[in-house]
Amino acid sequence: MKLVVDELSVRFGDTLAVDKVSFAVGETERLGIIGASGSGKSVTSLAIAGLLSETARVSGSIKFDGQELVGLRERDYRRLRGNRFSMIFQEPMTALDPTMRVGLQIAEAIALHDRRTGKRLTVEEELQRVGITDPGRVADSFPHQLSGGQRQRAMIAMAIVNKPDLVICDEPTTALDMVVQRNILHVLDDVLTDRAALFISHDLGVVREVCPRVIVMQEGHIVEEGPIDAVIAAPAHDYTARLVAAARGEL
Amino acid sequence: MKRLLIRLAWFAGSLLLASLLIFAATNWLPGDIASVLLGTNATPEAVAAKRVELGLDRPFLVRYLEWLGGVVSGDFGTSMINGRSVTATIAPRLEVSLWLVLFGTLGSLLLALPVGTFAAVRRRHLDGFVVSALSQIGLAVPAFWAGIWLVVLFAVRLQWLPAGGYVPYWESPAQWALHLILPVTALSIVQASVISRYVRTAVIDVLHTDYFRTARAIGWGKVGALWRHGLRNISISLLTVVGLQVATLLVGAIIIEQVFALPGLGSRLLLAVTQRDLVVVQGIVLVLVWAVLLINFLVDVAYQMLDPRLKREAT
Repeated sequence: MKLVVDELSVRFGDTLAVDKVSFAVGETERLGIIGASGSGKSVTSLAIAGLLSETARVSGSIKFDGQELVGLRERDYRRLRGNRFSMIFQEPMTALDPTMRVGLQIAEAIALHDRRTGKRLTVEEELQRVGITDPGRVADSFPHQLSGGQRQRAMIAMAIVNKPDLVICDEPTTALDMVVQRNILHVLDDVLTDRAALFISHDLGVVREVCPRVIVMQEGHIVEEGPIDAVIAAPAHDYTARLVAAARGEL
Repeated sequence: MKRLLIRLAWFAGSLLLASLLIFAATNWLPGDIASVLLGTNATPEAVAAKRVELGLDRPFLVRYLEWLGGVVSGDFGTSMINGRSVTATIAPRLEVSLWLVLFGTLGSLLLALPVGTFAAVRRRHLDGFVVSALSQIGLAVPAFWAGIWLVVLFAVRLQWLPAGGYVPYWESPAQWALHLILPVTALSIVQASVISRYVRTAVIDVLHTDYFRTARAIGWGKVGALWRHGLRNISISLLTVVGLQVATLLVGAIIIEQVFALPGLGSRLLLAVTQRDLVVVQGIVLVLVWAVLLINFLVDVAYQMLDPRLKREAT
């Protein structure tokens, strides 16, 4: 198992955002986490990445490659982030630094974990890998000069540039329109091959495109889990049934 | 490029308008210079004759254009009190004021950036709160008070630094630096408390941005992410605040000039006002106002150069 989460709870003051959540992700498995906003799915992913605000109280266990992440020193955590595991976020316009050229931001991700500085050639290769046809121009652009799809591709390039074992995708296609969403899912499907991945979304249809297995979260709990087709065919929980009904039109 | 030209035209226009307003204000000020020069016992005829001698009887617009023409070619006229060239009076004093403003601004930034950042990152901890509170106390401290205490401590008690006065750079760079340390420190401390408050708010905003989270997610520590990505984004809006501060400093340094007996622009302006030396007053006020306008113009231009989103619209 690449990632084992055991009885993970996250508390903000008196609010319990995640309540004793347990799941595991295999070496090259993709696990979808589905839930409405406020269900605790994003908090779970940030807890794994160690990027929750300092007001959060985390208990339970998160084992990544056998290494305990809960309570890990920041210095050690930093070496893992962007390197052994990485993250892709929802809104690439705001997730990229608006004042810095995209290529430089990708080069930075390389340089942070590699004594050799991020070479221009590597950056362009990575951009090509995520389906960008004019990597030179894109690398020299500021985020606002790119389309939503190009920005998210750049974001993906940044996430896989150090060949991580685990990629956490937090609503990676939500901010994109339908056509672009399909293309980005295709790119993700490609780059997540031979890696473990957590794929967080509120959209059952999107998760079905990339994940064979899914867990459903509601109000901080896991309410259902299993192979995605089984969950869709026979939802065991009320909430899942409503999700399926809602997504029915698109499936 | 076109946008820059438009800005430049606006800038030139505002310089012109400012000069007209200043000239008009000083000329319509109550208290006729001719009667001041001649004393209270002068006859109306003598005053009238003096006015002709000073050229004050000619139409306003003629005198304004004459003055402006002189200013543009570097001649600010001659003092009505001592007959000396205003340009020669102002130039060395402008130099003192510029050093104060330049180093005062740099010093306040050097203080405010780390202090404000620390207060933001540690805002939920006691040390962050204490730093934040201390910098707020700094807000309430008048610059002259800070200056007096610095003199008492470093000049009188410890005798490390001179208590006041000024030595031009070309006379002795070492002495020049020594004489500037205390006044610049006094200015920096007070200015820094304003800026650090701003930096704290801006850094807290950055801590909540997506790009900061991305920077953390690729492996930056908090400080590294702030340094590399936060500062760039803050600098754009910080520029506006610093621009305003520079303008305040330019005029506000007058008190510090008094405390440290520095021959700056502000103290010369005070003297000219009490003497009703209108030509000198006009000259100094014009230099100050133009300097503020110039700073605003530069901030505007720099703003567009720093923010790539604005740059695109500009080209």
